[in-house]
Amino acid sequence: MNILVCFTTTPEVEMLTDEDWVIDKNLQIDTSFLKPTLDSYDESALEIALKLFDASENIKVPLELNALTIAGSGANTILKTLKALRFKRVVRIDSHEDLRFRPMAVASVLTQYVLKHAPLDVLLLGRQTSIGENTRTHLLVAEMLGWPCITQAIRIELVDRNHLVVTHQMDDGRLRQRIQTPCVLSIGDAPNTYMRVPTLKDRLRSGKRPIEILSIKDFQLSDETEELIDLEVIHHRRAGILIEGKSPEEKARKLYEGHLKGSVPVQER
Amino acid sequence: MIFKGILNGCASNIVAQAEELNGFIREHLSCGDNVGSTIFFYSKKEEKNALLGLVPTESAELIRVARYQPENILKALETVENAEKADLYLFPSGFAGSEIAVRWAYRMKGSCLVQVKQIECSGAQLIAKKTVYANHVLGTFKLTQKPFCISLAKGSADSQAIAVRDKLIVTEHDLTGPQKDQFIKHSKWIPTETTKDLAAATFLIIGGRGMHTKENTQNLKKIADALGADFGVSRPVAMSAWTPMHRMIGVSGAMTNPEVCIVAGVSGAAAFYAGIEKSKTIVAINTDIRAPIIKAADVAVIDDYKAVMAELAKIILD
Amino acid sequence: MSLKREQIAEALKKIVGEDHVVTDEQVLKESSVDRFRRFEAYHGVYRLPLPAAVVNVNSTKDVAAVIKFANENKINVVPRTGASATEGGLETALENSIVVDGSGMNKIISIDTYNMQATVQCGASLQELDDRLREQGYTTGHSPQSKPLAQLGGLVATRSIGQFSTLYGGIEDMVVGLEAVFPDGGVTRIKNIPRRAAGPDIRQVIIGNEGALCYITEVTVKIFKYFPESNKFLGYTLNTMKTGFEILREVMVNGYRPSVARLYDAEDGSYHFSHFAEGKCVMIFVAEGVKPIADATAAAIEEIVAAYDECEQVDPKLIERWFAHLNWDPANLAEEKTEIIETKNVCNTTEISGNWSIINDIYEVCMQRVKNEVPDLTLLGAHSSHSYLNGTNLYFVYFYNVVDCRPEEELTKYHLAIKKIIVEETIKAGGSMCHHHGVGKHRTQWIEAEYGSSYYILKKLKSAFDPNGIMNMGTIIPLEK
Repeated sequence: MNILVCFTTTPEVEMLTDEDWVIDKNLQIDTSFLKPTLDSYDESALEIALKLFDASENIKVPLELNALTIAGSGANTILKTLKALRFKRVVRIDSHEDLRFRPMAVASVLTQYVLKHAPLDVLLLGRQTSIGENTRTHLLVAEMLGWPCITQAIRIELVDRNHLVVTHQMDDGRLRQRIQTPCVLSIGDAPNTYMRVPTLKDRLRSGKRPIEILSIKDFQLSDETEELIDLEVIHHRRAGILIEGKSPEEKARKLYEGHLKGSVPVQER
Repeated sequence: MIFKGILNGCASNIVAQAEELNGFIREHLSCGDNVGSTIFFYSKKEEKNALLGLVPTESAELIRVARYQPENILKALETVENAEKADLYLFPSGFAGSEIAVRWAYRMKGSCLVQVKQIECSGAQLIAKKTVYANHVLGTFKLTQKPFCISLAKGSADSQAIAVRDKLIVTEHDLTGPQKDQFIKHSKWIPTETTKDLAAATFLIIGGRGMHTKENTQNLKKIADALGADFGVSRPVAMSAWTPMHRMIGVSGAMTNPEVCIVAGVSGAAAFYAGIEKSKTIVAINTDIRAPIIKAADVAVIDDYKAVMAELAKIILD
Repeated sequence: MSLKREQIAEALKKIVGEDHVVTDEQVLKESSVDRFRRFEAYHGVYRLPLPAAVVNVNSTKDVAAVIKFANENKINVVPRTGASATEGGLETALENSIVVDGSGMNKIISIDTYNMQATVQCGASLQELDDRLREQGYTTGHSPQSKPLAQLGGLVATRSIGQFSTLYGGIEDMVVGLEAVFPDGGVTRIKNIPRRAAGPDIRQVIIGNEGALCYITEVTVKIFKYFPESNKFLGYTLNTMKTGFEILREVMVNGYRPSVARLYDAEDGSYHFSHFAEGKCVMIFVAEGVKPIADATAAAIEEIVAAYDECEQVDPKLIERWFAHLNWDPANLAEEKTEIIETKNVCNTTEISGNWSIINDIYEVCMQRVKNEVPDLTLLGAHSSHSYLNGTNLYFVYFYNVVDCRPEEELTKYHLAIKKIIVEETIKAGGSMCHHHGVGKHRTQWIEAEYGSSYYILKKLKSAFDPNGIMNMGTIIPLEK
């Protein structure tokens, strides 16, 4: 089974202070000083792929993991980490394009890559990046490839070369399905999927294999059907009254007397 | 503008979906030129009549399908929307709405935006706003290609109960026939508790990463139970499986609007805060005065939440 | 005859009041350790003797009374304020210890901008003090990474040092006067004066004592005028640590005092600067002070670095922003815990110092030996962050996966194994095994090697000031076997 995980590296925007949230005239926010990290959903996707690899070794099903990102050279550190973690082919499509709000462009590039570098059985992506929040790329790739797509996957189990059991979250429950590949799977809020860390020895072993670098200029980027016209920082501000006191108990008392008495609702249990 | 609301009657939250759509239509599409209808997907025959009481528009189409399965739903929509397409398709908040919206838009070659908070019709274009940058920024987008396909953001409008209609135009379709989902070999439904109780909570206590352990999480829940409050957690807590996922508060979990919301050991990332921003009173308890939640709360206590909550519980229960 | 736990707790309640004595089991467990044992603690494993109680003291009088009681009854006392210690200094090595927590003594007593000193109680938050000073255009100049958590008592007791030390000095250069309580219950006060030659500098008995000699209750530190608008940030990538050390030496030896002079190796650098310094060493300088001095310092450093072809300049803005986000805060620590448990990947450090002539050799042999002798490492790097006229420090940073190992075995298998290599190679080369974290309880086995014949002086201090052996036993001086 051939699995390709497509991921993005994003700057950790929660590290920005109030003063950092400034939108310039090009509708950009300066995050150049932040280290790029893996978005939480992408991290889950990568770890889930690694767990599938572990399973494939246990049940002796041939399985190959590959990873791809569209990014500048800042993504190299993460790519090296993936190389050290048993991803066979690790690809970076070099790009300095502003792809924040261009899911059609990204999907078209991914589709072209998949069609050119077949065979592929499973395409795994995180549900959205924290910057664009488009939540569309995986669905667009599925449409472009003509493949089925299951979203909000939280657990994937390997059956054999062509079959997986996918558990995914729906609005009012979960569905566990045995499916036949090929398929696009997008990962939702999957508990316990922090990505494992390779050892120095792992890194040494993988050192010789190169990261494949392609150029985005070799791909046709589809146009978007939506255009970003403004960005506005959202400020959440309330009174922020601080309760002072010598002990937590005193503060609790002041909190109750001053702010909660009379407004704590009584609920049916 | 001709618009159509698509509702997933196969899901148990159909009433909430309908009321949300109703609220959105009233807030953003109530001017005279806009004509709307609603498409319901449903699977159980006995549910059909109930759906007729949940129509926020003057006409409705009821499409019976075997179950909610995206590839089949899209095929059904293609069949039904063969003749005349609407200018605007509205999909419910939640997972189903977003995934169908995107794929429908692609097939219809229309513009798409997911989790939209507001819209504004502007001639042949649609201006839509949604959050970006992990909920820190509101993005405004211009949608240029019809049909516009948008899914609503949770809490994008105040839900409105549907008034009983005396006149309703209804068309029905039965598309329970051959399925397009041959890639699915077997499926099993696992019902789980929904976040309905959290969305309706009037008194909510939420614990975050500052609780540090699963045991502390369970202890805080015990306090919430004793006080008659509902209990929620921030994403890191749910992702560590210290509670089931349905207790997660925030954009990918429950969106709440309680009278009183006590938030303990939560730093207050924007994506979390969106889940409580409609609270009447927010009380934050945190040992770090610089946590973002402090400035965004009405009242804050800088101290260890365990001691504060223990004392607060004592006072309230006495 | 030693008192039972319950008797100790009762007696303490009579001394400081019931509200100030904590005997909750979870609190006691957490109070038996510090960040040194955080891996096992995160897994709920607490192997050290449970303290009899945690006492929250509110005044010097409280501290004196508690310590007198402990001294009379030969009970071990662990002094604590901010609890950010990383070397086991806060561990309870003996049965039924009393953890005396001074974080409630958090008043900023006075800020004197004429004599340039600020006086605070031991539990005053460094962050709060510095924020208050900065509002008025001053600073303590003291900025350890633990700043958002640390309090002045602990900062003085551990001989701490901050990120801007190359200009402002370490805590020992900043302390003016002190008040401390010694085991016989006596409160001693050292007055605030600029300098004197009236015998040896007795402040140095207190600064760095790690709670093994006395309990610090009040601290007066110098304050400096703060000119952030003159700050100049410089960053460079380069190929080798050897070159980096040479550059640092040149800057220091020629008399320049940038507030920050840091050198990261490629590994440690990759952790922080992967977005602009893939596979290279990184040097960072900050020049601070009145504008003419800051400008001259920056210009001089640029000139010194320019002579080395391998150095390439980095956009100063990247450096400035990176710096602003460096400190720990409670949110980061909470996050750290979940990640450690989930990924079983732990980060620890060992910091040493040495003269210019030995420092690069120490770096190379330690890197070589640790890589070869310790399993499951995922990152091993080092940086120099505090430079002096005659040498610099090295801060080794290492991450490892905890593999096939119970939580209580993690320290022996990894952290201590790595520490042993670094400490032994450093002492062998003639450097110091503890640059600024303190000896704590886990480098005590090498303390005699560290001191050589001067160990006599250290031992005498302990026997003179703590004859009954009640002050944070097991710290600095190992317990007698």
